[in-house]
Amino acid sequence: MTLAETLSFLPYGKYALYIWLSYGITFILIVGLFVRASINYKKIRSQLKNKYSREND
Amino acid sequence: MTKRQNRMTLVALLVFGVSLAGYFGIKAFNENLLYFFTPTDVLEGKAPKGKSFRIGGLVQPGSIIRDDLLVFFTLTDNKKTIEIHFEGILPDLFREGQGIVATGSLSDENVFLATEVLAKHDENYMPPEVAEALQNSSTKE
Amino acid sequence: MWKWIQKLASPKVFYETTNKLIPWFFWPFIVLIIIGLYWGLVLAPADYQQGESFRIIYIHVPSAWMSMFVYFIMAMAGGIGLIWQIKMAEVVAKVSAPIGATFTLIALSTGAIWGKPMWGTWWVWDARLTSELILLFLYLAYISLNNAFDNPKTAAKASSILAIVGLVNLPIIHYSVKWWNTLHQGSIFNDISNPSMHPDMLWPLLIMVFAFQFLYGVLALVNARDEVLVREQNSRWVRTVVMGE
Repeated sequence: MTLAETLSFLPYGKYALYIWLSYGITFILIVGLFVRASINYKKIRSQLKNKYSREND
Repeated sequence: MTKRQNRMTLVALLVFGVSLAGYFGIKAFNENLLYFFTPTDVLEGKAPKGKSFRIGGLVQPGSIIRDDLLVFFTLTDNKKTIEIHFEGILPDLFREGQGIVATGSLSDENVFLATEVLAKHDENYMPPEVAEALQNSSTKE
Repeated sequence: MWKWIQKLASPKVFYETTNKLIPWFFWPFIVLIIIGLYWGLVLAPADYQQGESFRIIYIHVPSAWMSMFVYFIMAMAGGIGLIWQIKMAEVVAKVSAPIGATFTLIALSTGAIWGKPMWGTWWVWDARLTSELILLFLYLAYISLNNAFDNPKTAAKASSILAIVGLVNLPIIHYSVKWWNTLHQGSIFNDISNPSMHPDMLWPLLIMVFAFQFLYGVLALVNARDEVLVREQNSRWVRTVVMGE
């Protein structure tokens, strides 16, 4: 049995593997962009905060 | 990295990128300006002999004979036809009247021995009921 | 209009404007993506030839369209930065690249996944697929060029020139299905007043295209806002913003 057949119990039958794989990859990549933005947000602010407090000392 | 190293990596990357793009561009041009030959081209002897090439056309309705993984069918461009032999798994869009592109070579008996069969899809999208209704109205005319 | 552009070119105004605009892009994106996904994955009928597999189009076409749209914005912003020395345009160009590259990657991979059962192959070297792959390389070259220089001014200059030269690829991608015999099908908007897709399937596609537009908007705004903070870290207003939070 091929992987496509194994997963055919999911919605979209014999194309379940292809559809869920496409949407899965897209979801991961887009979430990745949001995660990257939020990591950047925190990193930049903490770096700048450190820099400014050092300058104040 | 020092400035000099930076610039070196940069130049290397650019050269690499440009040559890669150029390579793919030329490859695509060569293969795609004549992505496939039609049955008429092939019967007129325009296709390369003793070498693998692509043939494109429509699957003649009523010509498909299946024997497990062995498939025989006739390819037409509405002028000339060519017999095609293929052993393997066909794409889901393969059906009577469908446009396909096959890779393979021509035997001495003018039979095309395909090693790969790809289905070409068109840009029409509709629900099955609509397609059926369209078909009915066109047969009534 | 010109006055407004000049104002926006000031980093502080740019920061404040992007900050205010973010929710105006985020929430429409959320609403549209939910409607689009439900309509496309559940309500839309299966295709008469492709069956259920055609549903991949709802991410494939929007991301392919965005891959070209974002490249266009990136090259234009880069050009504006080059000609008028507007730093905020450089920021827009720089933050657009990774987003555009991701859209290109989505378009290529979902296309390959659809191609396997439908065409019978993951990949062919036809003009459409090849030119879209070159678009991905252009984005990657742009990103590495931008990172190769320590001086942001030189980086912006070099990468903008690359982006503008690469613009020539966009019409090639768009018209490849007309100019050459490609395995890839033509556009459903070949005849713009009469799209070759049934309305029941077309509406969710249009909604998804808009959702992806807003997605790009929100990501670009968030990244641009933070990039400005880094670039202007020696200004007093950045200190107030960061320390005040």
